[in-house]
Amino acid sequence: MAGVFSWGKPTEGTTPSIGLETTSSVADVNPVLADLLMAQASVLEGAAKDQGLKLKQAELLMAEAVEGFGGSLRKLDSLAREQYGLSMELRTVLEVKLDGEDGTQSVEQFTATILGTLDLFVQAMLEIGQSSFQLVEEMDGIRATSESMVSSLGELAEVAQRTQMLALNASIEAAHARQYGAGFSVVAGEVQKLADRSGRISDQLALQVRETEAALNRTNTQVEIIASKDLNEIIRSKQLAQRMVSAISQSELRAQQLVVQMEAIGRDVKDQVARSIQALQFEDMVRQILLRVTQGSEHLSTFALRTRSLAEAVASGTQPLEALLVQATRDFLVFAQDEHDSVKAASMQSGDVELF
Amino acid sequence: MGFRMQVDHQCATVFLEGRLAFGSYPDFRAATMSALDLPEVQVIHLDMSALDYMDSSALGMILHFKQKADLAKKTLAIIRPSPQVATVLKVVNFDRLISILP
Repeated sequence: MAGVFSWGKPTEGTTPSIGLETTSSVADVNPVLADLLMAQASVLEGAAKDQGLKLKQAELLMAEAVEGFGGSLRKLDSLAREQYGLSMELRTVLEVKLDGEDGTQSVEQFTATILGTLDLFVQAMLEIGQSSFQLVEEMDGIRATSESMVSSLGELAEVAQRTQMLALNASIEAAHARQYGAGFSVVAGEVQKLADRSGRISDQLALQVRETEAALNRTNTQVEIIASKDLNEIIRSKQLAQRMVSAISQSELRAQQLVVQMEAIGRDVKDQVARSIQALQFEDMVRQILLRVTQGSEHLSTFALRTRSLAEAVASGTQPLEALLVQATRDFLVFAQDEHDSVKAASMQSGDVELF
Repeated sequence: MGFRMQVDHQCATVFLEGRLAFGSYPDFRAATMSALDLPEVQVIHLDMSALDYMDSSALGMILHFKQKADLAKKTLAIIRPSPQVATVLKVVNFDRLISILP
């Protein structure tokens, strides 16, 4: 059975319409077939053009997105590196270094030094206290000796006094003896002088002993001042130092924990950024896919041109219909094969792409 | 004010009370030396349960007496220190020098 196809060209906002009418002549088919093929070529050309425009638009949008996203990632990477650097610097700062005679000291060493110094101070204080009482006992010994000397000096003074009395009596007796006692009077005078001298020396020694005792009392007072220290201040200082050291140690420990956490977060951010940057390679894959689709669009355009040529040949009626059918079949097979190749290549590539 | 002393067999206990400072030395010396001079006494305890205060000179006089006790080959120990005194003894690490018994 033969028939006639009628083709209603689509206008904007409408769909194409196809009609089929029966006919009795093969020659009548050519114009209709030519119209159909021409309309088909027009649709294909329109589709290829529209596809091309959309492809360019997609390519442009993707390029903008990739550029923006890549810039953000590079900035993020820079910030992550800066944060990591600050973490390392903070770790260095926390390892407090103090100038010491033998190089540097950590907080722990500095703490040990403070407490050691306090202990040395306490030890020195105890030694001073112990030595003070050794000194007190030595001074007590000197004081006892002084008291003994005072007693002896008292006896000496008494001897001097009695000697003076004796010399005075001797002088009186010498006077009674007149010229016979002249020599004895001289001796009595010398004894008087010696007794006077002995008395003065005894007085001087007594004065010196009293000065020595006064000096001992003053020394005793000084020793008491040196030896007597209220320990409450030392107790408070040591407790304060221990509390401060404890607080510093806890603070340092917490800061080190935070630095470790910051470093870990910094490393994670860097890793994530690196992975994101790596994932940006999808741009290449998408470009390849777009290229394949562009090639498909070109195939569509070529097929449209060939369809238009076929329609013109059918309309001219210069070639046998069988030859045109063969040509149409060959054109379609070439187009189908190209499309198949493009789709296959695109699907193979997409399997390797890691998208977000 | 003198410090009381009690002798039980070979152990003499000197009971320190109130404040122990430089001015207490004559009383301290009298009590401790009387304990030290007893031939039968081998151990001397300084009971500090009633001692309220001691300064650095008190520590010094105790160490000075320990030196004498060591020379006499007799043992000296602090017993029952009051809380205030125990704090002082702890801060100066006195237990490294003399036995402290609770």
